[in-house]
Amino acid sequence: MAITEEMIMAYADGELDAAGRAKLEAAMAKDPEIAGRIEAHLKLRASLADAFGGALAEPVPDRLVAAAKGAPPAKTADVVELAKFRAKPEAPAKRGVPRWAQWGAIAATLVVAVVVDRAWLATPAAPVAFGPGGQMAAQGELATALDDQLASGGGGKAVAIGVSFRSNHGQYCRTFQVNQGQGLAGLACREARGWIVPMAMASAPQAAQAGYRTAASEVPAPVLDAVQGLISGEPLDAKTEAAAKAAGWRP
Amino acid sequence: MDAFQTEIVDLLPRLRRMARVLARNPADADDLVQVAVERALERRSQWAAGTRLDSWVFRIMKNAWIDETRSRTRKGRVFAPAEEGERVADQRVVSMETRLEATAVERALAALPEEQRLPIALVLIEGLSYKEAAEVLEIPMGTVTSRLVRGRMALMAQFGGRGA
Repeated sequence: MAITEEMIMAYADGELDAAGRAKLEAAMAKDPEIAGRIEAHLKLRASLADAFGGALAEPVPDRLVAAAKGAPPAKTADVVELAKFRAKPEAPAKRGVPRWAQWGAIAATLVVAVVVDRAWLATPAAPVAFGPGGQMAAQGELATALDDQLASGGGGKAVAIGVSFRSNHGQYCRTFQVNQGQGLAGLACREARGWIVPMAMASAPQAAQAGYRTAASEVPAPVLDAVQGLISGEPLDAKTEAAAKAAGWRP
Repeated sequence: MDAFQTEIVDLLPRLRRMARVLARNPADADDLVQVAVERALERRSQWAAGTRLDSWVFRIMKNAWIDETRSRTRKGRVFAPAEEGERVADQRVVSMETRLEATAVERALAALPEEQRLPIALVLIEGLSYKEAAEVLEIPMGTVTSRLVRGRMALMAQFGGRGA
């Protein structure tokens, strides 16, 4: 009988039954070309395994290990520091999630968390400085943007402001995305001594956004989580935001 | 972490490898792995103990990929372009000669239609049997065999497989 390519392939893959193997081996004895064809199949198999072997040797990203362990996505990102002031237990449960936050959560599932370059954060040009006790405060362009830039007004390229809101501590807080260096996304709250950053995470620089809503949709999930734990009421709208800015972000 | 989660963690490198065949872009591939793993955990009660966990998760990943491609097509979004530098699946390959070969093989596989690419990856890279590949892809075994032959012939034609 004729030896089909399918039989040769199945032989190379170990998928032929005993009768099929016997037939093929008998044919091989008469026609050396068949052995060459089997070898070609085996070689292809080896070179494919070789070409894709790299994935097996590379370290698996933390977020995937966390996903396999069933950890909530918020914990999979590399968060520099997440202050523990979540919503107070006695605070009434918020009804529903603001619309912008829903969009944000969808977009944030696509965010790839990368490790924050601590060396970059240690330079004077870094957007945040570490105070005593490891507390982060905004400085330089980030601090200026937090002071002057309106979320509703779109914004500068170096820093994008996502949303502004009142915290359940009464402070004004704003989410930001620094589009310089390694990129940094986070949350800053205005205190007497300046903009304190309760949490920030590595977040690749983003292209300039058209405005408020688009910017909010790019807020990474851990930042949104922190906002959810901290927000009192709804995010500021353009009018209340402008008023807060005019008051120097002092409640 | 229980035994099931430990097994999923152990599978991650292979899931990433398979995802790169599907998505052809490493970032998309890892997103796909994440979705597949999350779904696998959600549906763990549906996994029959004693059967191959890898096949089961591969099937979940294949379906997640189909969902993703459909939704992207609906939204008219483009796939991230496969960049030359990132395309080399094996970062360990240091010698330029081997590296070029790896890129060529990878490129050739990526160029195949998905219906041939998947059976080839499951059988030739992941080492599944034809029957197991048919179960992952949810197609008859005869279809797997014919797609394997067509895909391999195309690959071997490029690499001068026969008689080379």
